[in-house]
Amino acid sequence: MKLFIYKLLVSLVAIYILFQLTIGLMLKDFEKKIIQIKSQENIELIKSKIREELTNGVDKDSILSAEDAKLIRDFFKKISSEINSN
Amino acid sequence: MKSNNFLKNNFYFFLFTIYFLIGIFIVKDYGISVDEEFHRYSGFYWLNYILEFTSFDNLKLEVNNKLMNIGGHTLPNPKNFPFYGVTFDLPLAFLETVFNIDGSRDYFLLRHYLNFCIFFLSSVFFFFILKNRFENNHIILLGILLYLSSPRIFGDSFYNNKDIIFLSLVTINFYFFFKIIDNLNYKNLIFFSIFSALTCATRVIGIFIPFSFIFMFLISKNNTEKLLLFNTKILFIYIATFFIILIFFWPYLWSNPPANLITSLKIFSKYPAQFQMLFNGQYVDSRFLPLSYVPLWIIISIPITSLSLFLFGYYYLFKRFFKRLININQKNVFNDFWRGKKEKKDFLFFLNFSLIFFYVILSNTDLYNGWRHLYFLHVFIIYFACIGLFRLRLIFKKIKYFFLILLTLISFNFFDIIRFHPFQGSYFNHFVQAERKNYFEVDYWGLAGTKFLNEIIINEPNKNIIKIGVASYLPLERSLKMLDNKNSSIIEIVGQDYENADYIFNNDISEVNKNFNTKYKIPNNFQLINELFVNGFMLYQVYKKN
Repeated sequence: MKLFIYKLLVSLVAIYILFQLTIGLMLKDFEKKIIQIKSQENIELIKSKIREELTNGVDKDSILSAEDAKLIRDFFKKISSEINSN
Repeated sequence: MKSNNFLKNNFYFFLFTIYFLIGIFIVKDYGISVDEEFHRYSGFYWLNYILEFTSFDNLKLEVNNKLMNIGGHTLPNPKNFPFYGVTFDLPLAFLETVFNIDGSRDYFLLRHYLNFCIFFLSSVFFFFILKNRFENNHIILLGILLYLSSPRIFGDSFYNNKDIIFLSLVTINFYFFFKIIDNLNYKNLIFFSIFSALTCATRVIGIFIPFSFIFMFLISKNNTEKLLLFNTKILFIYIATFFIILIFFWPYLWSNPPANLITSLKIFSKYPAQFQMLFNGQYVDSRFLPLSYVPLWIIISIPITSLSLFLFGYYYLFKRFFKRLININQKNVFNDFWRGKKEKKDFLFFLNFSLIFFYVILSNTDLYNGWRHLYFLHVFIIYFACIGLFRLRLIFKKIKYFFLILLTLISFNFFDIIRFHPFQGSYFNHFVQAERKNYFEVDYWGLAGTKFLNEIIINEPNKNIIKIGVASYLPLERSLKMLDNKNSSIIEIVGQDYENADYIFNNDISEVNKNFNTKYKIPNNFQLINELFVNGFMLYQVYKKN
């Protein structure tokens, strides 16, 4: 009986440590990532990244390549003609 | 010859007296820590609660008046944080009222004096613990010096109303635990249960003491049928006294003891606060601390001598525990984990420390402000250091030289205490290299605020009002309480309203990630005019408007 109790206690402690060091750590990491995504710091980071990209775009001579510009122009024309025809 | 004997017999008395006098002499040098105001508030809140059950009308009126005068927009109301123990705060509130202490500096000094006295008392109990366990004068002397000379513990013993009181009570508890191991009688049991309850009422994590008592009691080989009635009686008396005293000392439990105790346990294992803290050069969330958080803090903030001896002592006990564990069998003539009372005491320390330490690390307990919440582990650390000393004594042949070397090494701890004075609470050992000195939060108690305010008043003698902005999470206005009324009235704290500030105080303590959040960004029209460093660690910076 005594041996059984000791073995049980030691096994429980070992299982707890193993669980925390494997699955527990993974869960903690996952939870941390989810919270980080919606954190104020992350929102600020995304805002500043958008600002940075917009500034870079404004500084460039042209934002779109010639093909992209043509594609978008044609797309808008098509949409516009469909709206006008209805 | 006679005088020699006198000195020998009274050596520890002189040692403790000198330590006590030094402590009392330097109390006034310390500033106010950020939590003290709240704990004072909490003391009065619960004193007021208790007085409602009595008919002391004058006292009630005075306490009510005091309560009305405490507050401020940065100070949380104890009504919303009732789960804190008040074993220190409530008697202090009572003393403050009875002795009519009205000056803010005076009542905080009273707290500091008593805080130090309680820690001092714990050191005397620790001396008796060592005397009981080791019986070797060299180890007792070195052990007590190690207990007293840890700079962080020394510094905090003046103003940390929570962690140091808890450490002191844990130490006193182990003294009575040892008494019970040596001689289990009703007197020792009652004393032990009173102190267990007091410890738990101070901080709910103290519940580990009754659990370890019950566990040790059950696995001890005294559970024969003959003693069954006596053992059951002992357990019943202990548990009953523990709960009666616990409820008595903790007014929060009066309304609904089981539910409030569980609430308190839940809150302290997962504290509902979210901070960003600077740890090892990066901002970390207090809810998701890295596994290295507690070990690294311990490694860098206790003296290297204590650390080395502790690791050696713990390693020795771990090895012994492991060997005993794999050799357990039904026919063993000895107790399974210990052979004699001394080993039982070692096992008690080993088991408690290991379970608490690894539980805190693995269970992702919320911590902040370094490892101050675990300062009660100091008594375990020094006990293991003494075990380490005990083993080393057997290895080294020239014992006298060995102890002289250790005495010299410990004297460096005292040198560090002098060097960091009065900011020993910000001590780091030499493991923190020069380029990493700004990788950790240094003055998270905001102690240097008082020094800063005093200096700014001296530097601006002609100003009627000095407006101070604060680029820190810590509310600087609480440091005003350590100044006299005349001086404090010329200071106006404007917080983060930097436009209206003449000066900005920065101590790099922030609850937000400063890399992304501009809350504490110093405006360009302010210029750095002064910095305070202690051993290369920045305590604060002062910026002045151009």
